[in-house]
Amino acid sequence: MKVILTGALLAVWMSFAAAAEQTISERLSSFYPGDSTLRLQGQQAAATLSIPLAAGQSVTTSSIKIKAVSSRALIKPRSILNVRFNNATIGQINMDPERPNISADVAIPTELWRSGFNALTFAVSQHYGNQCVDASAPELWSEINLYASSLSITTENTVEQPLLRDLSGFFSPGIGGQESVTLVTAAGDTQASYTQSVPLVAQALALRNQYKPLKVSYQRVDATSPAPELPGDRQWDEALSQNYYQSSWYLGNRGAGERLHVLIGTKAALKPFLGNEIQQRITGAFVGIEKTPALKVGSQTLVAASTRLVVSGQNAQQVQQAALTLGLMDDTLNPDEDTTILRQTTDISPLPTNILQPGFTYTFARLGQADITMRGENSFSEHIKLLLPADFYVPENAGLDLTLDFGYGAAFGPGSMMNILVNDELVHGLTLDTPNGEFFQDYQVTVPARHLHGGMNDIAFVVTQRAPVTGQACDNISGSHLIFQISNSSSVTLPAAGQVATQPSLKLFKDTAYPFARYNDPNQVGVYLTDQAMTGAALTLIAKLAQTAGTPLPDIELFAEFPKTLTSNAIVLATPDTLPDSFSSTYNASVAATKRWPYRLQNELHNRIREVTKDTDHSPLRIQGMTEQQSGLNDMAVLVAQKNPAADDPGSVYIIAAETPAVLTQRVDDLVSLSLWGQLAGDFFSWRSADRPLLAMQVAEQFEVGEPGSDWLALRMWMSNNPWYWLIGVALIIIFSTLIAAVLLRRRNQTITEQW
Amino acid sequence: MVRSHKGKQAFLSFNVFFLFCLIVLSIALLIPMDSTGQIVASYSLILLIHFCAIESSHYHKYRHYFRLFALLVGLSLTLRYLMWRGLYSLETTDILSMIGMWLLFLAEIYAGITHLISCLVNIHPLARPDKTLDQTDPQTLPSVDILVPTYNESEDIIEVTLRAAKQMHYPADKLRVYLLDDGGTLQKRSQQNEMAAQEATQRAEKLKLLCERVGANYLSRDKNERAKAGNVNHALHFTSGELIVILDADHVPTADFLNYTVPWMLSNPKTFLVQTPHFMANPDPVERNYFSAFTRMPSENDMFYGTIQRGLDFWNASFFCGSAAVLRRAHLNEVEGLSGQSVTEDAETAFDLHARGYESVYVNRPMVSGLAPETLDAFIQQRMRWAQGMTQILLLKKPHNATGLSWFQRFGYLSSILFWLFPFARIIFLFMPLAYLVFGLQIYRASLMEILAYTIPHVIATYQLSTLLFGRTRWPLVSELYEILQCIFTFRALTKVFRNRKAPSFVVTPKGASLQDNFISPLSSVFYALIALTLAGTVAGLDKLINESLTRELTVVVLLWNVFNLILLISVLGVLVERRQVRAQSRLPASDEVTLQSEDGRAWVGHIQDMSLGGARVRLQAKWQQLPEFVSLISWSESARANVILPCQLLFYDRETGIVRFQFIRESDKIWDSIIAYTMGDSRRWQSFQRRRMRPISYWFGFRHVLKVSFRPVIQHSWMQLRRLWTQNKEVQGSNK
Repeated sequence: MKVILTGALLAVWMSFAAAAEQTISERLSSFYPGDSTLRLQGQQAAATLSIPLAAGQSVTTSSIKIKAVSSRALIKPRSILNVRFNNATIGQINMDPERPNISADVAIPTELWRSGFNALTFAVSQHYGNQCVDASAPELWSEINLYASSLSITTENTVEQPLLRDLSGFFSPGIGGQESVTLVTAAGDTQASYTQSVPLVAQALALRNQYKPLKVSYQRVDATSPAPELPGDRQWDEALSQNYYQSSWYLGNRGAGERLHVLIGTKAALKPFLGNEIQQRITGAFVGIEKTPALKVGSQTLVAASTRLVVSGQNAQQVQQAALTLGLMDDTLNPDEDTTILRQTTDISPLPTNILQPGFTYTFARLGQADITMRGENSFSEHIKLLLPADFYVPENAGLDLTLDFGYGAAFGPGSMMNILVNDELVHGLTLDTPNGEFFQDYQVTVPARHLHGGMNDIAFVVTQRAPVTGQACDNISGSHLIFQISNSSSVTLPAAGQVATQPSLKLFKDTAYPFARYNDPNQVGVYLTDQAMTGAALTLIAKLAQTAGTPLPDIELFAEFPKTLTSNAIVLATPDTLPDSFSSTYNASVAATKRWPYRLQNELHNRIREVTKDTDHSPLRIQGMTEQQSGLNDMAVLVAQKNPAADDPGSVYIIAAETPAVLTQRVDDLVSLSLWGQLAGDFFSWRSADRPLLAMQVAEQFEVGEPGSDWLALRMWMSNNPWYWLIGVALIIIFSTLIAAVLLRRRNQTITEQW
Repeated sequence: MVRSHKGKQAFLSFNVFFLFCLIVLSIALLIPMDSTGQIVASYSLILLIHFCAIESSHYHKYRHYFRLFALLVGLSLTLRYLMWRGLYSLETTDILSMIGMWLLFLAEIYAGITHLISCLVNIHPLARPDKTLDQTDPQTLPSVDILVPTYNESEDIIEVTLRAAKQMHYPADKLRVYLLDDGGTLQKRSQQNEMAAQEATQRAEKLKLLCERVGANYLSRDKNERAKAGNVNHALHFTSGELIVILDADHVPTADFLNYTVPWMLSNPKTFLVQTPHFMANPDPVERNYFSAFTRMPSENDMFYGTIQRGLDFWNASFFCGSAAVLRRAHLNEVEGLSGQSVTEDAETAFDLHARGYESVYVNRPMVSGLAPETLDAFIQQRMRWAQGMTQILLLKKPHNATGLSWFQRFGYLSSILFWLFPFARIIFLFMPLAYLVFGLQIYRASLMEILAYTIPHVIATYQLSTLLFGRTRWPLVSELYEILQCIFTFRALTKVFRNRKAPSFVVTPKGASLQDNFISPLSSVFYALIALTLAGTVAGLDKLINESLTRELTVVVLLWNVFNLILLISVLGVLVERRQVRAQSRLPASDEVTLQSEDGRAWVGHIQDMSLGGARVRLQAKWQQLPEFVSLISWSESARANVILPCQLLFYDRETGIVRFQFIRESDKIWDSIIAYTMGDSRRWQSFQRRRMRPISYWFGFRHVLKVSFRPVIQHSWMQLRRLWTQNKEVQGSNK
């Protein structure tokens, strides 16, 4: 059976609106990582799609519409497409050679749904005759058009009285999960709430969304805002006012459509916005959740009902502590409405706990992997994930050692094999051909470390199990006896490594959030805005960085200003008019008011058009140099990574520029989408929508930064950054040596010739 | 040679300094950079070596600087490679691969060390000026004994040598010539095999008569103990000359031999040896069978005598080569004559005397013309003896640790001795690609980038330095050919020495044979097997290349290496076809002006094109002439210092071109002396011939040359083997009938 575990990766495409009850229809291709046609080949075949459902959601109705095509060679009574949901058969569709195009609706019983991942399986049994069917005959096939097939589902929220443990239901990659959130601070609160706590809260919620992007908007509310005018001739009275201030009145209409928003700030600053009861519970670093009622006047809803998460404390430090706790805490351990943090380890550096340490050996068990067992006749793929430091830096000769304990049973047929791939590169293969099976202990595979990179690495064990063949017609052996096991006592030994990364690199950035996620770097990372209206965009980006790193990044700070000196690694969000030209002094492209485009960019654009139009009349552009111009970015946004010219220490600055704050916010929302984020590369990236980038290229020379960890690697890094010094040094040694040697030889020669 | 403390100190300083610089440079080069940086740096340095090598070949004030610069850079690339190999590329998982990997690495270390020592030794080949006896009072000259040991050489060969020795320009009362006959000893004459005993007796009688006829002294002994060394040492008891010249029986000296060598003995009483080159008048089997370019390319021993001995001479480490040398009796007496622990008594004797603080001189002027072994069998036999002898010296004398030798002399001897261990490395280089391609052993752990960054630059730099040092005396790939040809046989010989260091016995190299027909050497079967193995490796490699994408990078490199081996092995096939050689003496180029005169007084002027003891070829200036069958050749003989008139018989005359071929008629002893003096007595002739063929060629030219002459022998072998089988089959059928 073909299991597709990563099917939900593309679920981010879903646009589920979080509401009390919502109905969505989604193409099945959204749940499948491959192309949109699912081909089922052979006598028996199956493929499974994983459909995530957010916690706290109840399904009221659901069905799938299936579009498929089957081979005309199949015979009707014995060829069936079975549809299973969480292993229960929910539909059986006959494949009729007279009508090979299948269109069917299958209802999914609501009781089969469960929170988390649900398995939708398409299994076929295909026959071209009543007997002696060759299981691998090419005419045994059917195709399911996943793009044309769809899932329709209606869900409703079942959480009546929210508790902190329900947070993971609000923010979840599954159906019904919240894909946007508003963070609210009070006007007049301390700057630290904005600078430090708000980014942490954005990260905390995004981490619950796992891979699904979270759009974060930001609102600063003022307690002195006057109450809105009531409809008709209705006047404010005491009861109405009391109800008004118990609701999430400060959101106005912004809260509509969002089930949960977050109120962040010190107790004093939040006082006008909170009820007395909750205020009294804020005695320290506080995280609480409560439902605020709707305010209706007549038939009109003045303020929508909402759930609010309160992150607060007696002072700014406690607020920050609460925000960090929100990012680290395990929701299931908090079955309360609120929690107060009494103490916290002072030196929290969450990254090392997630990241494997170079030079250490990890068993698969330590990596959270159970024993792997594969049974039956099929192709299997099991993955071991290795999260390495983003600045994982090893000499070229270093190797990763895999020490495997595995075995396979008797009677494997021809074509059975195990292949090992590291980051999709084949590194080892083994034919499973011993008739009585084999067991290997400490089977060693050394993989050159160049196959590894900073961030998430994947070791895949791809096993194909084939039943033996008898050579007799109509005598097929069932492969049910086939078994292959990899014990979780197998281990992986990482080479010792330094912490050096090549910069600027948007690829490293999108894979690991480097240089903004560095566990060994105590320095702060500043996110600078030239306009406070860009706060939402900045928070969305920060949230994405936390998702990429897989952990909160407590060192990231948000500044709605643009000082002369930035932190060594910094992010700048700006409009062209507000971006100083000094940022282009060390870079071949400028996105400031006066644009400077390298010809390479123009070449790229010209050559792309040339390729698309198959224009052979004009040769490709190969112009060097650059052009400066006064122009706008219009609806385009540009992300530029470059050496930071405005920092005291060496580092990188990542600049995102768009014409207006509104456009920039929209483009950042596009950027964090999986489709676009995954295509980040080079150091210059521009885009106009979430569909595809306009341009991704390397403009500036790269350089290496970091801590090599050993003198040898330090030297290597220095040499690689300064090859000219090296060449000059070598040349000087040679010249010096030559001169001295020549003098010595001449003296020797003189001594000899004197005797003649 | 180096008398002053200052000189020794200077030299010691140089050695230490040079090695220190090399290590510093190698570490500097090994410092890791990104692959791109490594590659760019390596190839920049290779370009630098190239330009420096070109510059050093031009005669100007700074050429030594460029030469040193190139050597330093090239050697540091090699050391860097070895350090990288040792530090990073020796990891493997199974024991067989580990063994293979380490064997290969040891072979590479061996090759690297010999290359390094060779560069050190040849860093500054000494160019000595010609010193003569012209200004020396003949009365003050030391007496000289010329010793010509013989064992089984033919009387003809010996006679030429004795006559030439008698013609040397030296006061007659101070020059005595001795024939030391080991083929006619009492032991030989009274051996149990009556026929052999009779032959020995007859031979002794003939040689005695010969000595009487030419004015030489005949010496023999009772027992054949310690071979050539024992024979010479025996003669030392019956002779009294202050200086001793040792000449092999086939080594014909020129008349000026003593004129150019004795002055070096006079100028420095500590000099125990003046060695001169062995000039070979005929091609060895490789030159004859394979290249057919004896007169156009440097001979095999030109590299040793033209470069290495000069390099050794700079460090006072040139050594005795068994013949064509002058030795001082007083020094020889101190070590009780020639040493005889090894089968290379010559080098051993020099070693002992160097260790006593005496000095050697190398005069790079060919003044002795010898015969190279004609057949491959004889050639291999000679090389096996040299290899065994040098290895014996290594094991018995331990030159690296010898007391009395300076460090540079140790390097010199190590350079000459370690070279002969090449069979171990060469066999590993031949078989290791097969270990990977056929058996899948992980013999080399490196990525293509690393190979490009470390291995290839090292290989290129090694060839560059070889060309820089030996370009004039050794063409590219010729060394590899000689090594492959010898390695299997020499390997067996060396293992004997390692098992028992005193086991080998002296075997006289057979010389003077003539080959009547083309035939395939009986040694061929080994090479057929090697070619079959290498071909199998190539096929396996291609299969691996197509089917194993994971290891494709390494497979490409190893496959190329294997194909290189295959080309060399196929080239060796050319050497294994023994070509017909019926002419008793090889004709060598000459350019003397001659006059041919008939009995009736008519004369024709022309230039000699080539000549030998048997005859000559002349291009006459006049064409379409009527020439009589018998003429006289009149020409100036430098060795006789007079015009010679040699009677000749015409063999061929091309009227159109004026080319005349004739043979000399040996009417009398006097004429015979004149022929020898004229054809063999003038060292300028050998010098000019040697200079003519010492020409550097580019690596690509050499490679193309090897490729060009390599593939025809494959067809030739196939054809000759088929013909042999066909003949055998017919013979079997005939006998059955």
